[in-house]
Amino acid sequence: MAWAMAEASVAARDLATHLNVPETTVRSWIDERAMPTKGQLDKLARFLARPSSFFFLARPPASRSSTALFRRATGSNKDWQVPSGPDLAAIRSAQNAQEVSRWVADKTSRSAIELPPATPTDTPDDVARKLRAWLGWQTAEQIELRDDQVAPTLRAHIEERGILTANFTLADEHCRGFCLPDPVSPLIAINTRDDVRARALSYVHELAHLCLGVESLCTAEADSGTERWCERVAGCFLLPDAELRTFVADVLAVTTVRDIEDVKRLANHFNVSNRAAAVRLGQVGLAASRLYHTVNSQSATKSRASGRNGVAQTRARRRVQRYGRTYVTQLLSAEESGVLSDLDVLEYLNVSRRELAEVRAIASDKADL
Amino acid sequence: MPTVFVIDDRSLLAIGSLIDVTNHIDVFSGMNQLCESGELMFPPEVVKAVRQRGDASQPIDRQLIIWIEAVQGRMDCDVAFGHKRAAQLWAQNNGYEEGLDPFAAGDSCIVAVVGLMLDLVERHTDFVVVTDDFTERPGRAALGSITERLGCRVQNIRTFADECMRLCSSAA
Repeated sequence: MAWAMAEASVAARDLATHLNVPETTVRSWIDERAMPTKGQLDKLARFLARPSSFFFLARPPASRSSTALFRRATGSNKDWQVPSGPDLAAIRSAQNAQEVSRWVADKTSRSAIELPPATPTDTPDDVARKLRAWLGWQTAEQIELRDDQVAPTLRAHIEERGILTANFTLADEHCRGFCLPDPVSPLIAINTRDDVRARALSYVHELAHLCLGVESLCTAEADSGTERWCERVAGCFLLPDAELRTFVADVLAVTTVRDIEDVKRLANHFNVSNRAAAVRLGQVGLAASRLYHTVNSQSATKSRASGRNGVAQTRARRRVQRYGRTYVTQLLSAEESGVLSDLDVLEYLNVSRRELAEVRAIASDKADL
Repeated sequence: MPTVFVIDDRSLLAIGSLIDVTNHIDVFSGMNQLCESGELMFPPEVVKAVRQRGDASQPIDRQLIIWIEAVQGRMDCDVAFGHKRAAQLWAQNNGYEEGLDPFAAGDSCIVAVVGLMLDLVERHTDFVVVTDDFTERPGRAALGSITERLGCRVQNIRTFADECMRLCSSAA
C-alpha cells in the first residue's frame, strides 16, 4: 500500500481525506496494525488507480521500464514531467495493451512494423516528407477536411500502418502524449484534454519519437533537443515548407506575418491550431518577433473537444476511442482465430458481452471515432 | 463429506455455449441443488464478474444472472483478506510476479477464487475446480494451471454440466 501511494504520489493525509478517516487509520493500514473494510479497500483502490487485488500482493512488483523512465523525471526540477497517479494508470493501461498486442503478434506470427528510420541529425523536413509518404498523407486532403476531422483521419492513417494509437484524458493538461516503441506493437498515446486541432500535431510528434525508437512523455513545452526536433517534424508534416511559403506570399501577401488575423487564416487553411501555425511561422523565419507570444496570450485556454456528431457515447464506443481500432481489431481477430477466447477479449476491454457486440460494429465501421 | 465444486466467472459464462439450449434449465436446476447442499461454491466476486460480463439481453446469460443473484444470498463464501493475500503470495512465489490479475481494470475474481481454494485446502475439504482455462496469456493467470500446480483436482465444464443434468434427472 505504501508503495502504491508513493507511485501515485499520494500522501497518507490525502488518502485519509478522500476516505473520510483519520490519518492515523491510514497509517495503521500501512503498518499492517489494522485492515480497511471491504468498502474502504474498494475506495482506496479506485483512488490509487489499482485493482483491489493489487493490495493483497506480498511485495511490490518490479516497475516496468517505461513507468520507471517516466517517473525518473521526479528528481528533476520540471514538476510537469512527473506523472500523477491517474496518468501513471493511463501509461500502465497502454503498456498492458501493448503487452497483449505483442503476445497476440507472437501467436499469430504478425510481422514487425517498418517505420521510416530517423535520427535527430536528420532534417525535420526530410523526416516529415518520409512520414507523409509512409502514411499516404496528402496536404491537399488535410486542407479539404473539417478541422475536427484532421486528427481522427490522421489517426486512421497511422492505424492502417499497424501502430497502436490510444487516447487518454490525462490529468496533467501540460502532458500532450507519450509513446512506447516496440518492433511489432509500437504505441502512441495522446491527451484528449488538448484542443481537437492540436491533436494531429501530437500524433505526428509521438510518431517522430517512434521513428527515433525512444520512449517519451511529452509536454506542451518542447524543452529538450529531441522534443524540439519532434515538434519541428510535426510542424513540417502538417505545414510543409513549400505550401506554407506559398500561402503566406500569395494569399496573405506579406513577407513577414505580424497580424494575428493572418495567423488565424493560415491556421484555418491548414486546419491546425493558431499556436501551431505561429510556431511554424517562427521556424521558417516568416514570423514577426513575439508573434507566438501574442498568439499564445490571445488563444483560447479552454480546449475544444472533438465533435460527437450526435453519436451516443456508450462504454463500447469509449473503449474503441481509447484503445483505437488497431488494438481492438487485433483482439477480435485473435478471438476469431482461437488465440483468445471471447472472455479474454471481454476482460481486456473491460466490457460486457452486449458491449462487445457494439465494439465489433464500431471497429468494423470506418466512421470517425 | 461430498466433494465441493468450486467454479469461477469464466466457467459459468462458458456453460451456455457448451451445452445444448434444451438442457440449460436442467443444468441450472442441478447447480441449484449443489448450491443448496453446499457442494457448489463461488465467492461474491464471481457474482459481480458474471453480472459485469454477461449480456442480460441474451436468454442464456439472463438465466445465469437471475440464477446467480438468487443463489448468492444463500451462499456464505466470503473470502477473508488473509486468504486473498495467501493467493497473491502463492502467485508471486510461483512466477506471477505481478499477481494473478495485474491487468484487471476493476474487480477481478480470480484472487478470491484461489483464496477460496486455499481456504478449502486449509480446512481439508475435498474439492474439485470446474474450469477449461489452461491457456496462459498476459494479465491474468489461467485458473486450470494454478489448480494443477496447487495439486488440486480439475473437472472440465462439460463434465460438470453433465453431472448437473444427471443430478436434475435423478431428483425428478
